[in-house]
Amino acid sequence: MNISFSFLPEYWPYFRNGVFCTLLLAFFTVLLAILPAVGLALMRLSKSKALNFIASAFIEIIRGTPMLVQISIIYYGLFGGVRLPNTEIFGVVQFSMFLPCIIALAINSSAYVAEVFRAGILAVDRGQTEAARSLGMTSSQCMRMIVLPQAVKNILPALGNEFVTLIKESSICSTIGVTELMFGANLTRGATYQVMGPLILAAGLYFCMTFPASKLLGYLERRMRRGDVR
Amino acid sequence: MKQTWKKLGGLLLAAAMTMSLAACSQQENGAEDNSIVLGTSADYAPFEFHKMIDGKDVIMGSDIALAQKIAEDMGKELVIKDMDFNSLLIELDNGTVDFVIASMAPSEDRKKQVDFSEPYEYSKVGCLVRTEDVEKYPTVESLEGKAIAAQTGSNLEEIANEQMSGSTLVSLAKVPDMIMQLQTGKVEAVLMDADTALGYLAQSDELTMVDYGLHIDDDGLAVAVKKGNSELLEQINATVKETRDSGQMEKFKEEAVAQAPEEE
Repeated sequence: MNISFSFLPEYWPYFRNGVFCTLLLAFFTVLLAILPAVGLALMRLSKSKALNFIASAFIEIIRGTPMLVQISIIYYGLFGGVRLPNTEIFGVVQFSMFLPCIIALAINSSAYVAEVFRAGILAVDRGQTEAARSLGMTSSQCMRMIVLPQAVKNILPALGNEFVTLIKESSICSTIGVTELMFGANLTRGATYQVMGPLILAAGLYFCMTFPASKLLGYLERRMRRGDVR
Repeated sequence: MKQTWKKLGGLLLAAAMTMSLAACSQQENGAEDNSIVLGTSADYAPFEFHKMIDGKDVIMGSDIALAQKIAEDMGKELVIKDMDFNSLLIELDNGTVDFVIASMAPSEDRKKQVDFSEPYEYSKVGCLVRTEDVEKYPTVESLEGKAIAAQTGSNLEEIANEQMSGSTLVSLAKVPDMIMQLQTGKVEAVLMDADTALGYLAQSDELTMVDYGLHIDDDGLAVAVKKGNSELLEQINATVKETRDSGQMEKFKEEAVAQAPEEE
């Protein structure tokens, strides 16, 4: 198979905008997913059986169905009859596609992040809770002031991982026409009759996004662990 | 730690505001409605494809030229919405696009979902094989028991099933993927529109077009509109007839082939 990159001068802008759009998707999805994820994690940890059941069911359903199905249902089902404005945001992506996409990605992501949060909260030593409670704090005070701040430290690296995962997963949005990186690669393949080159370039660009992100995470992790050494 | 929370909250707030701002600004300019929205799947040169012209992204091709003509005849401004081929009819049904031109053939199954115009052009079947195999596969029969590829949901799929029933059909969503499967020996032959096939031939000496005498009982390619939208369909039919019978459609195709990115 001959691999040609002669499409580059003419079609590079699609890849450049695609990279930008992919990053936007991942960034806003993480932001949007955090709050529901905290809520789900607390529900999972709560003593109320009903709350626990709701959260567990939601997480299991989301984790047990493919992203491709979820995004189609949300885009064509939930947002099917809604006419959202076609404004271009940041000049690369239409709001009417961007919003359903980040909502779908965030719903999916929140289920995974909730489990990360739950593990992070559980990882805080029980002795911390016991000490706080014996000092007279209420259980919500204890959660807010003692446990959660320490849990955040456990959680941040995993949250960063989720960002890296989302950079890759957001490629699924190309199926509904969001002009992210994979979409740019596919339209280039269709227009230039060069079938392999655009894929290789896309892979390279995805790696250029995820590799620095995971390096940065490694640094943050080491930086935060510094406090642990006495 | 408290500050971390504050910062996080600030970020969230900023994000929410950006979005609501974007939402507001739109509602104002969404009022004028002198536009008509075309749904297409622009990864299929020379019918519809993207190109950068003076640093601006343009979707062009013979189908797009026809859409432009339709919009002009109606005195409306054409807005193009690009998406996956399989999503086109859903969007038509949802009303997010007004009509669809995507070198789509009016198959029986599709006719149940949407209404089609008269055909605006007739497609020719192109069958590609690897150049080294041209002698190995002189006839349809020689491909019996072998894998062949056609695009999911295209009328070529039906042709493969009916006229090449001895072969195993591999159904793929994207034409470039079909070409890749052929080049890597996953399939022995691919069926596609002859004009598109010519584009791939120009890119690679490894491929050759063969004539198996496959025929389409041709319903041609047609414009799709939402079921029951007969007013729009009539207007489209008028433009389609004129464009097709005056030979302008062929001119559109020639222009599109010339504009499509050439081999180096």
